[in-house]
Amino acid sequence: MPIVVNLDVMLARRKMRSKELAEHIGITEQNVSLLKSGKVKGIRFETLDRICAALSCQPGDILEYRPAEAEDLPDSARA
Amino acid sequence: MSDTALHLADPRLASASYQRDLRARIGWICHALRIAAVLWITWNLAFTIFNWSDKARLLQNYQRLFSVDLDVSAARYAAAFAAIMVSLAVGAVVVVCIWRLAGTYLAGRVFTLDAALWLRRTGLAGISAVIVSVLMRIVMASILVGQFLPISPSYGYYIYLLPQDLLHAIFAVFVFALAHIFKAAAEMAEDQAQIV
Repeated sequence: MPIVVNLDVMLARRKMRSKELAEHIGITEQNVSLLKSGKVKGIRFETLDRICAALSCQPGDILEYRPAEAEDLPDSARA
Repeated sequence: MSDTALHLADPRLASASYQRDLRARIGWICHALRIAAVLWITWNLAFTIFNWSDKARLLQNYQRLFSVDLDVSAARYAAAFAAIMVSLAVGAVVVVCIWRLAGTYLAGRVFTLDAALWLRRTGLAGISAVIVSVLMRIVMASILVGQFLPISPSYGYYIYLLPQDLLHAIFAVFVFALAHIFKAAAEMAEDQAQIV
């Protein structure tokens, strides 16, 4: 998946712990961990909104698009 | 934080809470279904045993139905009774499926793959029960009368296939179709649970 979640980086920058963020945004700590590890299928705008408010950042600071490596691309895309 | 606020705060929690509410709403229906299913099979079994315990009376009824003199040996009588028991055994499978299905709902697992699987089994068992019931009626009458597919002078072949059989088949197929819908819903719920 070329979308990378940089929540752990933002948490480190803001010196905030996962538990604290979970309390701020009202989701479980387990969900924050899943989000940090990128083991989720999606994130609601509502959750993103709360995270940005809690960490005083932009959605782009949390989500990053990293194009797949050349070998991961289909042949037609490499040509 | 109030329960409503929690609903808004955590969709996964809201989903669990929603399932709890749903369980509370359908709880009594599940219990009633379980009781009705057990009552049905018990009633059916007791009624069958009562009917078949009086050989003379039962054969008299069949003699009237087919307008023939029946002289049925103990072995043939037992074989015909076994045919009815096969039909009841398939009915018992339906009861087990309903019991397990209601159990998954009572445990709060409504939109889950195992609940969809039990719904599918219930539908399949229901379809099988209708088919076996019709077949066993034919087998039983054939054994008792001593000829394959005996025809009743008064009712023809109507005694084997009744309009309610079609109704039962429609319901069973509907349950089977519903199981596919529930499976799709369970997969969607699983996907939804992975969105935070």
